[in-house]
Amino acid sequence: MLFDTLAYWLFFGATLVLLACLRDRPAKIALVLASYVFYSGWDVRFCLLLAASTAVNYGFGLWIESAAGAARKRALLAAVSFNLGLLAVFKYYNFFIESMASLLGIDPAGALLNIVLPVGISFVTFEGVAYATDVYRRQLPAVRSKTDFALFIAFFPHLVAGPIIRPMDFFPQLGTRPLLTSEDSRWGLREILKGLFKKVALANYFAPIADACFNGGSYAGAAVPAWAGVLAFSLQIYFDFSGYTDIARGCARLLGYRFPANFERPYLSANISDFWRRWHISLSFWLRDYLYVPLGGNRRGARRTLLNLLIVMGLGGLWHGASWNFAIWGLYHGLLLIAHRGWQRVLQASGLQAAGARPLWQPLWIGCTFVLVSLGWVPFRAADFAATRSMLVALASWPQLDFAAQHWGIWLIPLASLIWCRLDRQRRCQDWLVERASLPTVAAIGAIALLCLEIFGQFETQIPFVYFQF
Amino acid sequence: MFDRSDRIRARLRAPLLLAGVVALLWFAVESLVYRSGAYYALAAPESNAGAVVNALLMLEGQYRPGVRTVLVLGDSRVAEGFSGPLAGAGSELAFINMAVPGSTPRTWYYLLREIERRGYRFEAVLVGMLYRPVGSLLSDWPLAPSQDVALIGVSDVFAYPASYAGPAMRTRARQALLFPALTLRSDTLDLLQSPRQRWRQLYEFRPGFISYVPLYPGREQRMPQLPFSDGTVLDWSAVGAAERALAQTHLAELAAPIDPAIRAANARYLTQWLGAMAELAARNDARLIVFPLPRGPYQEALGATVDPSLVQAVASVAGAIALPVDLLQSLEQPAYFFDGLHANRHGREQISAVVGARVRAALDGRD
Repeated sequence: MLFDTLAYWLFFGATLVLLACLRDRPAKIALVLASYVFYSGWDVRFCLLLAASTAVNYGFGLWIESAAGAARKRALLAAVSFNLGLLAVFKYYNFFIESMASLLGIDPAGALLNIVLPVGISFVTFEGVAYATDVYRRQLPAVRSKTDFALFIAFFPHLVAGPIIRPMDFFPQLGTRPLLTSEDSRWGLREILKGLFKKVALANYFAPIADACFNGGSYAGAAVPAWAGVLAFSLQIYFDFSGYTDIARGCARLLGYRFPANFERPYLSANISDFWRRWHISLSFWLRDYLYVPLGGNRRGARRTLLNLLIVMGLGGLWHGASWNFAIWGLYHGLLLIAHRGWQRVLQASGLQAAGARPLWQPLWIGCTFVLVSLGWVPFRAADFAATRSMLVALASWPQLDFAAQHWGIWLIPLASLIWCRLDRQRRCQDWLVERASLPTVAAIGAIALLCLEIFGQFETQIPFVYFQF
Repeated sequence: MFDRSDRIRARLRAPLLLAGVVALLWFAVESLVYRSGAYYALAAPESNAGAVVNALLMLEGQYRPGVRTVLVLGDSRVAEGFSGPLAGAGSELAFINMAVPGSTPRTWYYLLREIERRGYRFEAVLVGMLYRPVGSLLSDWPLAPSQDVALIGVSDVFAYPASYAGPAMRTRARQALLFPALTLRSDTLDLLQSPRQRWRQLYEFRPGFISYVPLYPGREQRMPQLPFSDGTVLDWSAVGAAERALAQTHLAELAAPIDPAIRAANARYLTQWLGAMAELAARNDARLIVFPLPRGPYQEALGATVDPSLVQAVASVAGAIALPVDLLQSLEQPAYFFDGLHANRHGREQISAVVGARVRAALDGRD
């Protein structure tokens, strides 16, 4: 069940009404069951894995809490190993076997497992590790209610592609069940419509352009089509993933829960550190709290800090998929973060930091950051090293400007992104819509938005959400 | 397990009120733009919906109250192969050809219903029928929803989707009913992208097209004469490359096996929709007359027989007059066709004259 299908919205509407009719405890149970129904839409067998993972993580929480000293650490280690082991088997086993076999020059056929990658397993794993670590750090008591814990893991709006919910943010919300206010409804509707528009009308338009470029074809090797393809993918992945998150947040709010923001106009970032504070925010926080900090963060000297950055970004990249291309993407961002730190030091030492932060320079920094981030999408999107290389060669080749003049439509790609990013930057219109606009005004805007979706949406071909594969 | 009713109401009030008002306004806006018919005046004339609008405009331009009129319905074979003025020549009977290219009897039924709703009255409704089996399921004709969207309304919400066999087509049919904007999406986008061009199409080219249609003489090209022996072409040497490709495509289509289940389903489909048309026509004292279309340029040479299931399907329609199946069999020659499906100028003239005379005779009670 994808968010951009009628089946999902019928399911969501039925769930919303059912939950409203039930008392608190039955409502939670119903929500867990609804989440399993949602997940079974992909493959019923995945539900068994989800249930098993939930049961084991629940047990680990109680074990960690009851243990002390070294035993407590062992319990945490077991919990983390279990979650990472699950990920290793289902997501990385074949990848590592193939990599090893390729290194040793042997045939991997006999050692490979014939298994399907369960949708959203990476997100489930992150939730499990976060919970165990928070209980270990005594930031959170182990959850006693099995229903609450099952809901934390399986809650359907965030189950398959996040945002990654921090246990400390989610469990307190389960204590009380607030009545849905008019503001909640408006907020939820706004986010859902915004997300659907981003996905169906924007991401789905950019997807074929990016696909045509990355899958090779008549323009392979030419600079302008390569740049068009890379920029199209930059926009596709942003609108696709942030659109998904908007819908997830909107649905959660209508069901009475709040999810954190996952995107804050990342392509308006003036540097790469800023970018990672605005892009997939829940992943950045997770990597910081559960990987960077345990590795020592910036507490063990400058060199170790840089190494930690590389490790965290490399693993963060590999988390996206079982391919060295993702690792390269992560390491590339790690190097950019290191370079940014160096650049900051140079500016500080030369006394130019204040001058560089002037608004006059902001468009330049934003443009540079966007181009660097977009270049990073090349290994992320390309199928393998060879495709990455040929795309980078094409990007570096001399551009045929007559092509750009003939296909003037490609200029709309950067223009569209700029307009979208600048639109209602301070969210004044969006806040007005939720807090102050009259009901008929909100309804009229909603109706026009739906009509725009119908007209500008791309419904002919079902393009899956990019992050569903992770 | 269930909560108190006041708490349920309190929980559902805000989201349902908002969703309800948004849905209502959405429906109202769509109704105002699309369901009211306002948009169809702006639909591209060459689009599927536009072709239906063209047909209605043609009727509006040609219909004369008080004149005995026969309405002609069909697909592109009727559009190319039948001329109203030629059929009615020398008689007081007027023929108005409203054939819509790429349409099937279901669309003709909804077109007839719309015409009746607008108050036009006819002596008879004449339908051109191809007594040759086709390999695709007529009930799931892919162009149908985008043609019918201009003719259906909310009252068809159950019957219209149910008339399709496959779930995918039923979904498209439901979509055409409930979300006309979605069905007319590409047409609307084209309009928004180049409104000036659309304006010219609608107000400069279309009036000329509509007034030209009754005067259209038909195409001059003809299919090549081929020497056949036992269904095989003996010699292609006298045939040009383009003509050869055209003829080969047509022969390959004829040779393709057709699933008996599809034949049976198509026969049922014809009975259903011709029956519905006959019933609709009878309500206004009009008769439904079915005439056979020449089946193709090489049918005579190939010795192909008429599909009996289609003949039976038409014969079983109560209240319809079926003209003899072999009425135009002598025209199943290359000299009367410009491709494998459509009659050329000679064919058009012959078909119109023969059918026109038979219809006049039938209506005058001489047949």
